[in-house]
Parts: sequence; C-alpha cells; structure tokens
Amino acid sequence: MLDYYALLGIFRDATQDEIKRAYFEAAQRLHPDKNEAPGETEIFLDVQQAYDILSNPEKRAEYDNRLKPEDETLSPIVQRVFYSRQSLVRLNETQLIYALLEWKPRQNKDEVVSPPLNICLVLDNSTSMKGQNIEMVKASAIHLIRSLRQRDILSIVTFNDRAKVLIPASVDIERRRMENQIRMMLPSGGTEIFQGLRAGVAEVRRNFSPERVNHVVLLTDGQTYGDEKEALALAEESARVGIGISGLGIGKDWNDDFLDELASKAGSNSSYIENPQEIQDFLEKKFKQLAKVFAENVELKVQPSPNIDLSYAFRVYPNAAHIPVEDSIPLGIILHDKPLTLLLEFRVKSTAVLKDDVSLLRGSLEFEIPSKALPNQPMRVHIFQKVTEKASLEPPSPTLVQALANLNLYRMQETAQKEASEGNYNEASRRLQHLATHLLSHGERSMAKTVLLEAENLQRQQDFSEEGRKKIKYGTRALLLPAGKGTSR
Amino acid sequence: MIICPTCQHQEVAGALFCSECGAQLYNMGSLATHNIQTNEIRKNGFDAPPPMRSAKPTTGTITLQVLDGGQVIPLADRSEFTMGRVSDEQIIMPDIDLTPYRAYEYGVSRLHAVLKKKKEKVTLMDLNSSNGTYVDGLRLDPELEVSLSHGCIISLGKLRLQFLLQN
Repeated sequence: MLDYYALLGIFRDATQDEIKRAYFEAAQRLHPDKNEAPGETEIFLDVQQAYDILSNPEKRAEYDNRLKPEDETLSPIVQRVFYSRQSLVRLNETQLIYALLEWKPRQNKDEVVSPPLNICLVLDNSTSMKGQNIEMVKASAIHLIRSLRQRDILSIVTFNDRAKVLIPASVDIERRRMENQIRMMLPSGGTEIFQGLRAGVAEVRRNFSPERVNHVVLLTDGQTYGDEKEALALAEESARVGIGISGLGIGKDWNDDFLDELASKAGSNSSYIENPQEIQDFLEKKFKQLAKVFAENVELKVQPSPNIDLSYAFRVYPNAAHIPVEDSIPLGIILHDKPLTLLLEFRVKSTAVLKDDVSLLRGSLEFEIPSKALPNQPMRVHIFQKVTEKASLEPPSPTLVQALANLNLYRMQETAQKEASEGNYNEASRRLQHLATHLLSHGERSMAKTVLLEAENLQRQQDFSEEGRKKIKYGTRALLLPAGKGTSR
Repeated sequence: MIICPTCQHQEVAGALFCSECGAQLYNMGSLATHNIQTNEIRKNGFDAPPPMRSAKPTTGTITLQVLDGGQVIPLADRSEFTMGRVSDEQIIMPDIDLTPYRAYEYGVSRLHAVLKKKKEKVTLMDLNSSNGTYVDGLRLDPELEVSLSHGCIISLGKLRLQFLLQN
C-alpha cells in the first residue's frame, strides 16, 4: 500500500492546512502540463488520490488504520547528535549546552547518482576587474566549460552598471562559441550586483528542474551601492524556489557582510581570495562540490520554546558560515560523501530544568533530493537531554570540542569586529591580542601576525585595515574546515 | 556560573570556552563534582579536614604529597615552582627535583610542569612534557594554565601527587 503521507512529504499528524499546502506544491510540480519526465503523470494521479483520501477526515481515519506504523518507513537521511554534556544540571541559573548535529544520506555514497548541474556564473565586469583579475576569470571560465558533463547546463552573465547574458542557459553546449564569447569580455563601468544577480537567477530559472542542482555563483571585487535590499529580497525568493547562491569576493574592496548575508539566505556562504590565481581553484572546488549534492534546499524548521534560547548557529560543513537563527534556518546542501554539520548553542533557563528531560529543539528537517522527483517527507528533529542533580563526569565529545575550539576563535574576531564598529577600540584590540595567542598555540603563525597587526591598527588608527579584517574573518573560518582545505592558507 | 581562570570573566555554566579571552574552561568546570581519594591521606596520618573541592581563593601554604610513597614535599616560600627531574647534561634545573620519588621510572620529563602561586589561586601548567600532565585524570593542554583546588590529584606521567592547601 502506498504511503500517502510520504508521497506528499508530510507527517502523519499533519493538519488539514498542511495537507492542502503539500498537495498544491506537489500538484504544481507534477502537473501533466508541466513535467516532461516519463512516469510523472502516474505519480500525479497518485498525489491526487492521496489528497482525496487525506482531506476527508473519515476516509483518512480508515486509511490510517490500515497503514503500517511510521517507524518502519525510513527517512533517506540519517541524523547523529553530539552533546557538550551528557546531562543538564538542576541549577538556579541559566546554563549552556552545545549540540553538534550531523545529517548524511542513508545510502552508501557509491549508490548515489550525481545530479546534473544547472549553474549560472555571474561575473563582475566592472573597470576594477581589469588586468589579472579578469584574465584569471576568463581562463577559469573556459576551463570549466571544458569540464562540463553531458547533461550539465552552464550559463554566464556579466555585469557592471547593467547585466548582459554572455552565454544563455542551454542544454546544447557549443564549446568553441562559448569560449570565444568569454575571451571578448572587456571590463568597464561600475558594480551593480542586483543587475547581475537578477539576470543570473533568470538564466537558472529558464532550465530550472528539481532534478538538477540549480545554483548561481557570484564573483565580484567591488562594493555595490544602493541595491543591497533588492538583492537580498531576490536571494530569499531564489531560495524559496530552490536556487542556491554562493559568493566569491576578490581582493579587499568588496562588502563581505553583504555577500555573506546574500549567500546565507540561499543556504550557502561567501568566500574570500587574496590573489586572482586562486579564482580557478575556487570555481573548480565549487563545481565539484555541487556535483556531489545529495539533497538540496535543506531547511531546519524550529518550533520556538519559551525556556530554551537557541543563541548561536554555525554550519561547520559544507560552506562554513554563521547562520542567523530564525524559525526556519536555511542550511543549503547535503553532500553524498560527507555529513552536513551544524553546531548549535542553547541557553537553558532555570525554569526548563525543573523536569527530568529537557527538549532542546523540536522541529523538522525539510529537503529535496534531486535524484527523486517526489517530494520528501521531512525528518523529525528532536534533541533533548536529561536533567540530573549533579553534573556528569563524562568529558564532552572530542568531535564537538574540536569544532567548538575553532569556532571559539571565529567568534572572538566576530566580537572584536562588533566592538570596533561600536567604537570600543581598546577592547577590540585586547581581544585580538588574546586571539593571536590562541592562534599561535594552534601553530597558525602567519595569521597570528596578521591579527596582531590589526590589534595595532585599532590602537593607532581606530580602525581595521580592510584587507586584514577579511583575512582574519575568512582565515579563522577556514580553521573550521577539514585540514588543508582552508581558503586563506 | 564559571569564573575563567585566566581572565576572571564570568561565564554561564556549561560554557566550554571563555568568551572574553578564549581560554578553555571545560576540564576544570566548577560544575563537575569530583571524587577524590581520601584513604591515602588518612593512612599516612595526615590529619586534614575532609577534603572538599572548592574553587575559592586561598592564601595558605601549599604542599604536594606523593601518593605512592606518602612523602610530603613542602613548597618553600616562592611563587613559582618548576617540577621535573635533574639529569647530568641539563643546564636548566627544575625547582622541585622529583628524582628521589622514582621520577625516571614514572616518566617525568626533565622540565615537566610549573606550579604558580598567585594571589588568589594556584595554577598548574604543562611544559610540553613527553608523557603529559593530568589533573584528576584529565590531561592538560600544554602551556595552558589551569587552577588547582585542595585535594586534587596531579599526575606527572605516572607519578601521582596530591595537591593540598592549608590555611
């Protein structure tokens, strides 16, 4: 018997509203007028049947009775949780607990089919890109075109004050013509990111398909002026339809806060490179990563709890980034060879530990798997910890401590930046000195040096140097990546 | 509440790292209740009050007692003591020579750890020893100071010492 709940991608206890919404979404996706893939019309009929039954309370009750129990249906994703403490303590004050969550495909990685790509490169073609930057961009883009696989789609948009579709999205790849187009790029004009982004998202949407990995890669070296809001709204809209956005900033003059926010809305992050030589390496890695996507549009929905404050969230892998905590946290992609890892910090109020068990987080993980046309049933996420009178002696999980130790360094520079922006230069400078000490003990000599230099800059000029600030931010973030994969080392 | 041993910043219970100076907090958390062995103290006629692990600052004299032999090493009126064992070709000598307590056999390095008596607390720091320094069974990170409290067991390699504070 078909599991209609799984078919619609909802829980067994879904409300009528949720059933309706899931039905509309599935119907839109699978409507015979729209879909091209064979076999989807049959699925569409099943979806209709599912809705007929589940939307009718009597039929639904009768169907529920015949349905096999829920735990026999396996989610395609497995979850693992590490805690910083094996129990919470009944204390009369707020306490902290950390949880490291890992999600990975249930299947072995060899069984996973790598999905075709639908990627648009949005390239900054403003005057400042002249010289080495644009030459490296051209070379890297040509290199990528040569490495495309049969079903991949690559489009290229260039932008300055306005956007131009250099290579439109198409399934037929005419490599030579594409390469010639790229060679003719001539930088001029200003930087208006929204223009480029809008054209890029439009290209991806033309061939949008849930079976592909749909992604925009934005490359820039400058500040955009006045169109940040529109760009952010566009990123949110793209995330909703299932298009991811990654950013790459070259040199010191681009706005990292803006690019980070933009990318994090669409489940990815921004990266920083000092030298144009690193452009090719970045793009190659990005494409390799996207070809390894198992699930996309991963989103953690959190039910707010009055006694527990989810105070900090950081995605450790892939695409390390500090993620703003909201009821719905966009997490981006799950790769098939390495788990998506999320580190959470909870502030537990004293009112929460009166019971013997504390639910730290209740919610669900939503995701789409490109190799499957059907909607996926979200996975329930429930993390909880017991409460004891005395603290447990078990040491925290080493995996978690390691991640937290490195995150600690990233957070120190985050705080220092905040302090500096509020005018507390002495505090920011002192914090950087502490940070340098820890970096030295981690063996990160050159970064420690950069940090000390900035501590001095803060004292003398009451400001960071743009270059140093970015180096520190992306450098400490790179420490969180598996060894050797840092972008700034 | 946890007080960071390095910068005295107050942290919420359960924090693993100090948000102020970044020091690691978790292997000495005041939340944890440790069982310490008291039988050795009594057996050797050391009439100490029931050992209580307290993080309170103290100003008394400090002593180290070798657990396997029972000998007491008094610590003279200084503020810093390096611990290790004396060997011939060595230029820098440790302040406390542990050779008489079979230090070599137990795997004590020549310069193993340093004990610092500060105004409000006593700290221990491992000096990159070969076999490590442990407080109550937890290995210290090299060159990172941790606070000691009355009754805790220090292990230099396999040589176990109990740290005692007398007011």
